[in-house]
This record gives sequence, C-alpha cells and structure tokens, in this order.
Amino acid sequence: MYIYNDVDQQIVNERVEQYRDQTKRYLDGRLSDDEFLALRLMNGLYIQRQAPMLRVAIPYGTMTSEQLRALSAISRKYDRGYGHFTTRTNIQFNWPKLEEVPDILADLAKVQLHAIQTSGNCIRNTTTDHFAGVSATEVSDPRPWCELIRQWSTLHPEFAYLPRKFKIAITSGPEDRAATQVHDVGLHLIKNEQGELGFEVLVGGGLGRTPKIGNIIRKFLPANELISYLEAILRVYNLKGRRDNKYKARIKILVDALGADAFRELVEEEWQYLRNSELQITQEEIDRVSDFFSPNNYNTQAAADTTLDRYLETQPEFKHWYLRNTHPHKVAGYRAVTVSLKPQLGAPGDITALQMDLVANLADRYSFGQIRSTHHQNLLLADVEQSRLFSVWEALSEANLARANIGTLTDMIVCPGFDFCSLANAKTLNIAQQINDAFDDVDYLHDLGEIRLNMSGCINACAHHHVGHIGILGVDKKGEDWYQITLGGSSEADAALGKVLGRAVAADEVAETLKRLLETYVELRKGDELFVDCVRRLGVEPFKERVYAVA
Amino acid sequence: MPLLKHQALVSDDPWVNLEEFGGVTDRSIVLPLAQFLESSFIAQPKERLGVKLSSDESLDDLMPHLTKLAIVEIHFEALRDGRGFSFARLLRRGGFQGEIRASGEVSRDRLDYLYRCGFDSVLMQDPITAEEAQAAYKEITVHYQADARNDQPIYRQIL
Repeated sequence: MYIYNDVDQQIVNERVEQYRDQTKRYLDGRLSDDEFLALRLMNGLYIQRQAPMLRVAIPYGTMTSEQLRALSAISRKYDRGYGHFTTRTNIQFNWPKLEEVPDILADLAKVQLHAIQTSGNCIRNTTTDHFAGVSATEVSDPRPWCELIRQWSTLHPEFAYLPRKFKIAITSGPEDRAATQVHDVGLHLIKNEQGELGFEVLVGGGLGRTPKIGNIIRKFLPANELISYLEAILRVYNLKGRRDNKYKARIKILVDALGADAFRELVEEEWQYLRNSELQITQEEIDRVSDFFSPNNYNTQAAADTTLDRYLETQPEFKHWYLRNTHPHKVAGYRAVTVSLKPQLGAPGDITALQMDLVANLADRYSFGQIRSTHHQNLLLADVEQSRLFSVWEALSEANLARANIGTLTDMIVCPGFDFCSLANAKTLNIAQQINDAFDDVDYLHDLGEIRLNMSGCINACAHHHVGHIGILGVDKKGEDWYQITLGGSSEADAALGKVLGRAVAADEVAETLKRLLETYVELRKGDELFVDCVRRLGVEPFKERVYAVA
Repeated sequence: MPLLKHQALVSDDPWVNLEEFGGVTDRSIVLPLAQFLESSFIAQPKERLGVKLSSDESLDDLMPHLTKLAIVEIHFEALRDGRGFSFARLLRRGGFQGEIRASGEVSRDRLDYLYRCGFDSVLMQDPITAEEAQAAYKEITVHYQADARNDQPIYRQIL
C-alpha cells in the first residue's frame, strides 16, 4: 500500500486550502456560479437532487483500515452515517453541506485521502483488478503503475480542461476484472518475448450513449515510457477532441471519427518528441513505488490448517458463502474475501458507518490492515488465512455483510438513480429491491450461477449496463419509468456490448421479466453452461419469444 | 483589462490588437491569425508584430511563422476550452521564444496552470489586485509533472 511522502502530503494539504479559498470566494459572491461549477466538479462536488454529493477518491481501490475509519467518521460527522461505493471504486457522501466540504477535505488529508479530480473534465481515478497482487495469474502487479499515474495526473496543468472526462484502467494477466476494454485508455501490463515489462495500450473504449470497445493502438509500450505515452495520447485528445457537443466529446468519438490507425499515427508522431525524454520514469522511482506493494508477510504454515474443511462440512451456510464470496489467492492457505455490499434490503454499494468500522477492524485482525473497493461496488479483504475465514464470516454475517451472492444475479451494479442523481431519468433502487425480493432463494441463485446484472438510471451508464450479462437501462416515457433490457454484454476479457431484448418493460414488470428470462436459460442451457455463454450461443431471439409471448 | 506579466500586475502594455493592417507602424501590433496569413508580405519588424490565435483555430497554420513574431496571443473561447494549454506547450517546443499571452475566458483560478504551460502574460477579464494575483501563483508549490517551466517530473526533481 502506497504511503505518502512529504511531497504527496504537501500537495494534498495545499489543495485543501486552495479549495477552501475557492469555496469562500464563491460564498462571498466573488466567484461566479459557472466558474465555481468547474472548480468544485474537479474536486468531486456535485449539486444533486437532494443535496450536494461529495465523491472521495479511493486510488485504484486500495485503503488502509485507518482510512476506512476516517471515512466512517466523516460520514457520521458531516453526513448521515453512511457512504456509497461506486464503479470507479470511489466513495460518495450524499448529504454534505457545501460550506463544510473544505473541512471534510482537511479530515481526509490527515489520512492521505482527497477528492481531487473525482469529477469534471479531467483525468479521473485510475482503476485496476481488485485481486492485484494476490492473483496467481497476473504477470506483474498493476498497482505501482496506478500510483505513478495518480501522481502524474494529479493537478496536471495541461489536462485539467479536457473536452470531457478521462478514465484509465489497468489489468494484468488473462482475466480482465477492471473493464479495461470500455475505458478511455485501457492498459494491459504484460511481458514481451525478452521478458521486459510493458503495456498493451487500448484507446477509445467507453459506455454512455455511444458504447464502444477500445482499440489496441500499441502492442508493447516499454513500462518506463508509460507517462510519456499517456502524455502523447492526452495531448492529441486535448487538441483534437470535439468541444461543440458534450455527448460527442469523449475520446472514443475522436478515435472513431479518425479511425484507430489515424489516431495511432497522431499519438506516435507526438510521442516521438516525448519518448526517451525526462518523462521516462527512472528505475529508482519504479523501485521506490513498487516497494510499497511488495508481498505481505504471509504465514508460511497457513495451508496446514485443517479447521476450514471441518467448518465446510458442518456449516452449510458458511459453505455457501465460502464458495461464492471467497476467491483463490496466490499464497497457499489464503483466500480473498468479498464483503458483500449487496444485502437483501438496501441500496447496492451502500455501507453504514458501523459497517465501515467493523470491516476496518476485521482488516486489522485478519488482512494486514488493508481493504479494497471493487468496481462491482463491494469491498475486499484480500489476504485472509483460511483458518480465519469462519471467524470473518461470523463477524460479517452479524453486520449484514455476508450475503452469499457475489457474482450472482443479486450482486448487481446499480447507480443511485433518480432518487439521488440529477442526471437520472428513472429510479433504480426500487427496481433493485424488486429484484432482491423476487430472487432471494439462495439455492436458485447459486444454480443460476454467475450472472452480472448492471442497472443504470440513465443513458450515461454509470452502472455499465451495456456490459452486464443482463443490462437494465431506466428510461423516462411520458413521466413514467420504463426499463430497457439488454443481454450478452461483458466487461471482461471477452468484452462485448449487450443486445437489446425488445421493447422496454414497465417498472412493476422488471423482476417478472427477469424470471422468464432465467427460466428460459435454465431450460435451454447445456450442462453447466453459464448464462452469458447460453445467450451468446442462442442469440436473444429465444429469450425474446418467451419474455414477450406472455404479455 | 488588467494585464499580468510574469506573475505581476503591469500597467503598460505596448501591444494593440488590430483587425486589419498593411505596411509598417511604430506601434506594437497583434493581428488575427487569418489576417496575418492572408498578408503575403508584412514589412512590420518582428519586434513589433504578433498574432492572435483563437483556441478554435489551428495552431499548425501558425507554426511555420514563429520566427516572424514577438508575441502570440492565445484567445480562450470558453471557460472549459483547454486547448490553449496545449498550444502554449507546442509553441515552446516549436522554439518560440517570444511572449505567449492568454486572453478571453481566463481567470484567477487558472493562472498557475497557464504559467506552468508556458504563458508569460494573461489579459484578465475581471479586476484583480496585485496581492490576489500573487496568491494565485502560490497555492500549490510542488508539482508532480514536468511542464514548460521545469522539464523535470517529480521523479527527477531534486527537492
């Protein structure tokens, strides 16, 4: 886990005072609404339907227990005792007061956190695989590179007023758990034939109203040229990206308009000036940052434990949870544990102050004091000894954080929707609840197996509905909420955009529609074929027939 | 309009913007890019000649002419239009050693970024005191990135 040095701390501290002054000038009437809008957005502050909303950066989803406790304390002191984790692995507070935000930022800075560039037309928080560093199949740990990008992108003087927001994700290894193909820039940390570390670079993926899968523009970028190459991409985008229409301003539109080859040529041409320059990251710096992510001090005897098997045999509920909510770890005798923020009752991604404190305590006791947030809106204790899993499960269960649903239908990615967001067209939280009520049978859910359900309350696609195995998009039709369903999307290595099932369904029909969809799947699947594979094999037609036949 | 030059308020600005021009004048003049490009021959000596480039216009058109100019004024067409920041970087990289000036939708909260990207002067739309201007440049005192003022990114800076 990266720990700030004096420079990092100074920048964040100075940023707090800078923002405090901006807020003061705004409240004194010395800064116009429009001017302050751009400034506050670059600091994660939105004015929402009910109140301002502050989005705090969790850089590449890593937190210490101390930081999580600080977030808990902030939610109690300045908000209503809870927070909401997002697909960008950040946390949002829904009820802060505009004039108190500088104080919140000061509290955050004390634990090396900030809200810099969590919104606005600038470079946002970089995301990565939540199993980074514990995955057996990764080529190298992406987190040091995320940190290097965090530093480079923080308060970058040239790229603070881009045509539109800009999101980068990094993954390493065959699985893609960071949705890199639907990011403005996706980076795959790889090794070339000589065994040198570098990146495959993708550009122009994205969701929103024009969903696109990214294009590979460079097969191998030497790792130490990461910053120079990103600088080249950003400069081309800053100069050439459209500014006349915010819906056509993302880099994917530029890449599409020019063609990926022409775009690549522009970037490569610009890069000729930047490569082998002072921007090249020094080996010393790579080593310094990488050191923060060296393996934890694992117990070499962890695998000798025999208690886990006994619990698995005698405790069926624990076993359910173990199978769904814990994941393989590269070190024998360890598992990564997902803390489910997808309870039966409650908004997906929400967490109370008490729950934050509890997870922080569990991290201290069982997982090296670290917590991760995932882009599926859950938390992760990445390094738990198998002998401790039962204790962890018991504690999580008591706090309503152990619903055994990870990767299943009810592990939904859901944006806050119309209840909170001023951009939304339709509500999402009521539909999530309807789905939770309709699909509470744990055996049925497990039989359905892995299903990614993503639901957004508007076309901006904060919940990535296009790449859900099942995507739900809320739309407004003459003042009523309707829901359009797509099938067969994926954000992983087999990335694909879902296909529309048919006409939108009414709000009270969503769960029933899903039931019919899934009954069709159960009927048509071959052996243990996953839902998404079944949809891909058969197309949407058989599902469409069944869903709309009854209506 | 107040003019900031090298982070300080200055009262005398020799440069005047002209929409059209031919011949020679004792004054220091800044021409719009289109007017400048249309004139096949401008006798005005370099020391008293500049071009105003809107952020909507193409920097590429101006690049071949940098040696004929003492000032390039980059006019920011909108608050959210950040192209000018890259223009300044590219002007410096292209070897331009004259003054780079920002005008249009620029304000106090962008002064430091403008400076770091290579702007020497800023024509402000709103009043600003010398103290306010000074403060604006001192809000963030350490930088991660290399920029037009310092080609050393944080990992090469000697702190």
